Amino acid sequence: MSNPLDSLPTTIGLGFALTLVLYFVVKALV
Amino acid sequence: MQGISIIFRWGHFLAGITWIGLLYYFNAVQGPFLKAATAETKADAAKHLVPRALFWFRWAALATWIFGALLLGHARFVNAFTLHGADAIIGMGAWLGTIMMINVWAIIWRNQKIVLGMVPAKPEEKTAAARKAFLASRVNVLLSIPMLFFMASSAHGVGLFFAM
Repeated sequence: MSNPLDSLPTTIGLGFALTLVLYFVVKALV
Repeated sequence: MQGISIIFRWGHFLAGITWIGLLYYFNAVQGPFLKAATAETKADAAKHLVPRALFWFRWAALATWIFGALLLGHARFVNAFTLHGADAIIGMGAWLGTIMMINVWAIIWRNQKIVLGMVPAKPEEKTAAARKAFLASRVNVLLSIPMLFFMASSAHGVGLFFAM
């Protein structure tokens, strides 16, 4: 049942990584 | 229009801080606390603490979404959700916030009602519901990080998306 989301610091790290990815997605759209 | 718009923005912030503040409380404070607590404390929390926190949490989530939609207004709402032009910036925040709000009502709250015994369930169903609610809550922590970035940058960092 191990999942990266079990760890709060990992969840936060993934949040920053997703921000970067979505930033480039939106930058390409505007 | 400026007057009513600031009321909507104020409401969006007030409700949003209430919602996301409780989300971070659940993930950073209450979860680890209940893991370490005694059975008696856990039972007390399930009866007197968690339902109160979840009440404010789920209604603040709905209020945040409604104030956000009112703040956008019809034309910008459509542009935002279709990720059209400069409104794509707030649109990405709006999409993330919408997914989070649906997560609150359709997954977290639905499963927490089973965990808290508001809905009759077998012990193994309670364990499964707790796991689902936990993961949905973690997903919302994850999504809140880009959501806040797009919300802030749509008003204060538009240049970031047009530079270079």
